Amino acid sequence: MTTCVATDSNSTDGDDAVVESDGVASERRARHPVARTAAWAALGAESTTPLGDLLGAPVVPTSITELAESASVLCVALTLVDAARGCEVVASVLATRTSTHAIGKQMLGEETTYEDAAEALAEVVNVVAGVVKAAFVDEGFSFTLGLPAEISATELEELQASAVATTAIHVALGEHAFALSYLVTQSAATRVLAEDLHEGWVLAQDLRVDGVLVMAHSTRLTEGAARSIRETCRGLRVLAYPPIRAESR
Amino acid sequence: MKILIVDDSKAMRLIVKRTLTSAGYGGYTIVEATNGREALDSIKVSKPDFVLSDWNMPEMSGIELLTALKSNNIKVPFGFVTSETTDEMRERAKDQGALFLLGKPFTAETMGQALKPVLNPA
Repeated sequence: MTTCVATDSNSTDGDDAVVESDGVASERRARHPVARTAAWAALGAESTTPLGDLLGAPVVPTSITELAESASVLCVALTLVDAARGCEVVASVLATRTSTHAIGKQMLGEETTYEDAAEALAEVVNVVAGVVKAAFVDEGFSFTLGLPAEISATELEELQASAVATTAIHVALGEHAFALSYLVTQSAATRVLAEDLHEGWVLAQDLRVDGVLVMAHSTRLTEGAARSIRETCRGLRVLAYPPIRAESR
Repeated sequence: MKILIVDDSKAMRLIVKRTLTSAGYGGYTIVEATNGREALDSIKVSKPDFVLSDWNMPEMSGIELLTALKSNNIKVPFGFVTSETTDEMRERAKDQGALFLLGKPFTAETMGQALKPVLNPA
């Protein structure tokens, strides 16, 4: 496979590197409240400084073909949900094995196993998600973060294909490139029986029993919280967002 | 003297440990837990002098851990290290008794500034 992020590979600077996927997405983008914001337009550029701080070395926009040439890439994604406004954003980081090792070594200060380096990549997407959350506060959004989860490049492509809007940026740590991708997905809140809730679901409404608030909307369920709901709210149909596929495995 | 680091990421626990040493806290014994549930069990046994916890973790989150400590009447100084640093979260953390909420990425300097008022370097 080639690269699966929608990025203008000819772009060489920060502003030009942040692009919409195609004309159709651009049209959808114009209508979607998340993608209409100044925060959305600036996401790629806003992420580079905190990533540089995390890695202890400059992270700069680039046009590198390494991802496109590689058959072996790692993708870590994290879902952000604004339950009150019915919005979902998926932030992801895509890197080759070589870049993943380089990120791990830079972050952890030593040669790492691939598993440890992949964990370092998960921290990268964590920080990127933190940037998204902070950037949208002033736009009136309140996102709840999921946990980073490894997904396949095919799964990322499927998410991109169904996304309402997409923006991406290729960045480099030294000679090693990786891609940051941000997708606005279709709102996917669904009614589910309390006993079917598990780790990673995000409540789309306040959960009340006999009028008493059990858990507030926007709460991301840990397994402990989900267990408690399963035990106390049996039979109740709850409006909630499912976790990203990989997170629920 | 012990510091408990709670984070589901092994990579981040390593970074926090290294940063603590750089910030002058290398003399503390470091204890680790991978989620709030494990931390709650560990705190009862190892009785740390400080808990540095991530917010978003599987099984039991950092804020659930802090709430559980309160309801179990366990008093231990507690600070968050998290990638989420909105005012709303700072307020929630403070309301539950956290001493600070330090944003990722952090440096030895910012870690030291957060810890110094509540924990002597060693």
